[in-house]
Amino acid sequence: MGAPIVRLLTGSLGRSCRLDVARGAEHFAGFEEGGMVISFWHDRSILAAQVLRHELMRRGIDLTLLVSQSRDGELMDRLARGWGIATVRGSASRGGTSGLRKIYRRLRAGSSPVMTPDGPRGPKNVFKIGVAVLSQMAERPVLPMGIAVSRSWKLRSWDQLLVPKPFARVVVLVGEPVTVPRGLDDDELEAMRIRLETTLDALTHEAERSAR
Amino acid sequence: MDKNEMQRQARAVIAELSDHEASNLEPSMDLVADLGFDSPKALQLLVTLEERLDIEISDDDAAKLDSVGDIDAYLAAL
Repeated sequence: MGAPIVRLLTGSLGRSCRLDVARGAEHFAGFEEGGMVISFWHDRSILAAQVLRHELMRRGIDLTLLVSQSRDGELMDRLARGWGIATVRGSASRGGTSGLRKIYRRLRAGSSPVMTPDGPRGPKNVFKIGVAVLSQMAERPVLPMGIAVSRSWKLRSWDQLLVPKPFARVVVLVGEPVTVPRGLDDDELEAMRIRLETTLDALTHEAERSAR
Repeated sequence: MDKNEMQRQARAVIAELSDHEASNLEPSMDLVADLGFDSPKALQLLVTLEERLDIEISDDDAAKLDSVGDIDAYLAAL
């Protein structure tokens, strides 16, 4: 997708949408104690841009975006920095130790990483373990967000990226922050990963029902 | 903490995270190929080493730590 199209989608088209944080805005208070790992599914990325800019940045929350080293990532990198969001190039899963570690340091320093746990290439709606480990090692919680839109197009990408139609309603449900404790064995960490995946799925489905 | 104790503790961390016995770890063992360290495990390893040994490992140094022996050598050179 070219830069002018993305700017259109996240700019004037996005601005025509009505943003409704229908539940859980009180959890934003958690940012006062430090960064949180903001998580939503990858297909909601364009919708999430509205939340990041008009809800979180407006509150002065420092954000860091992990963007892939692909050409799409280059575009996201430029776009995010244009909005004033710090970026780290890399991945939380594949060959991404350095990217994940930089994000970890930003989180420890008080910034909130914006993560799509099924990104950058799927499988769709599978919460990868890297995001849980990031939260665990930084000792800062995951903030799950279910996001949906009343009217949208679906792109033919791996995630079927949702593009809001003009004047659509974007519904956001913010879940309770989830802490991933230190000292978990592999089975316990996997159980926590599944819990995060289930939570994000449930919030997203509920947001979809609200947006209809 | 002396260098030998640091190396002993580092091996204990590697063993704990890779589900191997510390006594079975060989310097030639590759962290990824032999011990199964992926990116999340590598983050756990680096953060735990920094915390337990009270050291700071730069990204440049971390990128060179491919094997158990690399970690031994890195700690010996501190």
